[in-house]
Amino acid sequence: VNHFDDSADEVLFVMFDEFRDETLPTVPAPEAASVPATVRRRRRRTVLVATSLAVVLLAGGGSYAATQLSGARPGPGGGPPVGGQPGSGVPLGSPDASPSIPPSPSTGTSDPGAAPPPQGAPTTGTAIPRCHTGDLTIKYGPSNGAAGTDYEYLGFTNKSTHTCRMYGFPGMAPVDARGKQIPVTVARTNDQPKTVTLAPGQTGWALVRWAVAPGTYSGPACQPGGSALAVTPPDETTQLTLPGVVRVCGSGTITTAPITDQSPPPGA
Amino acid sequence: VAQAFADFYAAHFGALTVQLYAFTGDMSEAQDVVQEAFCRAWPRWDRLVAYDDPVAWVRRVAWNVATSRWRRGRTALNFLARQRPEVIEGPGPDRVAVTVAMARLPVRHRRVVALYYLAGLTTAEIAQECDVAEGTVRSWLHRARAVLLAQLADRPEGVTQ
Repeated sequence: VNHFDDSADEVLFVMFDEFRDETLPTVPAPEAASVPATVRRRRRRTVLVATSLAVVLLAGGGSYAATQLSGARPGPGGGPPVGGQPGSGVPLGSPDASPSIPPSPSTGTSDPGAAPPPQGAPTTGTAIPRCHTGDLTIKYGPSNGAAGTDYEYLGFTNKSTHTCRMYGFPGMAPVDARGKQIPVTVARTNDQPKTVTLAPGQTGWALVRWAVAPGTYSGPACQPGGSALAVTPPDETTQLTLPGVVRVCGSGTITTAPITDQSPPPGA
Repeated sequence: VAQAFADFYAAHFGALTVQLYAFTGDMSEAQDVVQEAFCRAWPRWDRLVAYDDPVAWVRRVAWNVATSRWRRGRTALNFLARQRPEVIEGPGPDRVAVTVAMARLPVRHRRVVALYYLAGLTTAEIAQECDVAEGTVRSWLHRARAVLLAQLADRPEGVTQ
């Protein structure tokens, strides 16, 4: 409000106007036809991001309380698996898969029975054992964080000497320095899980996302920050710990896609 | 839906690219960053259209992408190359002078300047977009103005620096 700022403003507004006028014509205009093509190409690279968002935000189903950290195979509301075999044609992971349903990520927040009993393999005729927590190490993939929303890939690497398989969604919750869980809601995408077979040393990936910035678009503030993320592999009851600050903002929801064998794109 | 997104893209790509160009000083980098931001907008377009200002979302993403690339040093190298005297004496003096002057600002000051003078945001809106207090925005703007004016008033010395 002082004189310097006022007169400086005049000079700089003129200067930046000239800058804009001079620069704008030199911005190569994207041809209309190239726009969708580009988007499609990039989108394919990040297909998990696209599907998880489109599905989660529109359908909003499949939420369950994460306080018990269940890693789980798909089922309505996180319940027991329902016909998890590929080809059943039933959208799994949510009882309300219609894309017209408005976002309601917290409606299913209490579902203490989320952990299904470990049952037969969803694949047919395989003797490959499930990857147990003790068979795995966990890491983050290249970070994709942007605009108040953090995308992270959780990588599950088979450290054992035998091939094992993973199927379904991980469970997770931030934990504080004393190992105490910070309550969050974990929502699952409607993506159809597939059995991922991991030879020793191979890694399966799950895309997860949560809001990291408070109040960007009028939402609740952040949960207390955790110093690590505790992650339960599907159908397991014990956790892997992933060090690093995890602060969940917005609605306090972590959204996870199923584990896939698709490697994450390089970080942006 | 695709058409609406294409229109949105066409309407805002140029202006955003100019803002990011002021920030990065590198046109192809600016285009790339803005393109990337629109790519990230596309999968969640259904939700973004409901926002009061979908452009703000894209701009934030573009800024985050640009900043993270900056941190990785890619753009920093471009800047070093650009600050050589012969570039300053090249064609388009205003444009080059602005990017050179901007390059001397701390990154967060530069962002505030671009949002204020190019994106036309108020200090309150900038505060929201950058997640800082409005007083902080004013203070950054105040300091940035002083630096910019000194730079721009002092071009020959800038050359020999």
